Amino acid sequence: MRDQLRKAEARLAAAEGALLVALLAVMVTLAFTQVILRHFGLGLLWGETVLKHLVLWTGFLGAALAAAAEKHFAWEAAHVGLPERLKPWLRLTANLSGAAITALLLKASWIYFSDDRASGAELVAIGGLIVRSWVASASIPLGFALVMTHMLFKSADAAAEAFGR
Amino acid sequence: MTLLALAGLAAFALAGVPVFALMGALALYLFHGVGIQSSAVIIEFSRLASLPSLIAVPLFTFAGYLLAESRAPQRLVTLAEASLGWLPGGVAVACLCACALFTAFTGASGVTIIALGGLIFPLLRRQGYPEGFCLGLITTTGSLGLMFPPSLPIILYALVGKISIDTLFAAALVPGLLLLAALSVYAFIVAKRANVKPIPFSWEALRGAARAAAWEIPLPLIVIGGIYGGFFTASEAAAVMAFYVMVAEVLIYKDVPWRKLPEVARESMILVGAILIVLGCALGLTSYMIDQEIPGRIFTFLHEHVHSPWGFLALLNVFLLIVNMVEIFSAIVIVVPIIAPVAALYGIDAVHLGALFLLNLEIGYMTPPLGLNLFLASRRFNKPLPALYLAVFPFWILLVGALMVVTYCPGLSLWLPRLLKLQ
Repeated sequence: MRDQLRKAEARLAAAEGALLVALLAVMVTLAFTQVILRHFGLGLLWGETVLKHLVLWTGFLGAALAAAAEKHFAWEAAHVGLPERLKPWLRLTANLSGAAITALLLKASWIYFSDDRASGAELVAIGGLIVRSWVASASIPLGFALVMTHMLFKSADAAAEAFGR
Repeated sequence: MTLLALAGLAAFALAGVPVFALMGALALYLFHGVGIQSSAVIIEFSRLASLPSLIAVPLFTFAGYLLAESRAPQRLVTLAEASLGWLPGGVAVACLCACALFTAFTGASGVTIIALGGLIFPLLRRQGYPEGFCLGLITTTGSLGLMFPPSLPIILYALVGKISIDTLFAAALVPGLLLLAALSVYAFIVAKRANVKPIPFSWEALRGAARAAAWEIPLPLIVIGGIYGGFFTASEAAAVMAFYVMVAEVLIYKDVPWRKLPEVARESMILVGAILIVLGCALGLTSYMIDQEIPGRIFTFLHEHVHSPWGFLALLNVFLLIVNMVEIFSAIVIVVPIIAPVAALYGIDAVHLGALFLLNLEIGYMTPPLGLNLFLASRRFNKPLPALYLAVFPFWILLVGALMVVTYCPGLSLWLPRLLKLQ
């Protein structure tokens, strides 16, 4: 059971990782192209806006992977010197509480995203293509949903560890 | 009720709940308390995208991770040794400089001790430096480059504190050099006492080391020279550095194979994601605090007990040393929005505050008992923590002395930004 959960989470993390690497490649290329173009007095009008929102997308995918690797900033220094048998329980508390709070943040971000979508605001025009503002703000609920999912996976893993299964 | 909520959050924090969740929960609770919809927290989150130079964070971090993955650390240490090793105490000074440069370019995430520690420790020991000094030096220098451009904490502070990145780079530089000079003098004294012989200078060794690092030597010039020569903005410099490092380490040196590149990208973006999600939640919390005039209330309370800006700064230094010892990136995003307006009410220059905050961060990294560098060095060199506490003590005293100087001589941090007409 624990192995199956781990495999399922690893598949999700692999898909997130692949998307993250692709977005970072676009970001590095676009940012560098903008620098070169600027020195010739040129530039892509939409470049700056797209880059800023790409940071949000990559940031949230990175945050999802940080949850998968349990690498979010936390005050782990408080655990120094604690007996080993307590650690799975702390891990379970941290991930489960984290997932519950992230669910509240997900709900709040869904309200924000729905309002943004209903407004129909335009973010940027790339050639003839109009990109709506909600395409950018979708990163927030999606990001929180992924973070929460990984925390739930980790909670299940910690519970199995705590109960010795 | 609020006290109960805070006690609950403290319990969660001790259990290891991520900082972003703690801050998000607090922001949601506080907004709910004043009858504002929860999406207000997320509105602030979405403002992340409007922060100027935000793009510099992922690009510098990615470039730093690539450098750390390559053999740049070896080349850097060899070059520093060949160019400075002939001076009295020169090998230790070379190590200080190599660590400072490496930390600045790799984001000050603790990677220096892991990447350079294994090279520097045996090198210093072979020279005859005492073990305690070697351990103390490496533990301290793991964060020495935090004061030099393009270090990630400077960029993050500038984003959160709403200061221009170029100005803060310039403001932190002189205090950083002061630290480097103070530590170099200490290294010289220890070398003299331990009768450490300098390495004879060799043009051949210097030429060889320079040739080996030929593609990395221009990097500081491109980034720092590019920004202050007016060629690039900080975010453009990040784009150039990311591209340049990728070409140098993957295509020219071939230190990082193509197949390893996605892994480095993923690892670097994990740090970026962890920073941005805390930053987003902190923005939500900050907006509540500003709305409720909390910095003003803190100022009124403090001003009843502490009247002078100097007294406030002394109090601030003690507070920051404790806070920064725990977690530096979170410390920036949580503490800066609260203390910056309070400091402004005391008449303290925002740029000066930034420089001394960063210096505090640097010291916090190696402050016993919880500084991150102590744990990293303990793991890296397999030494018990108390041995490291002893080893870093003289360095800590030196750095705290430098902190006093930087705190009470604002001119040190403000001189260069004014000279460059950035302020």
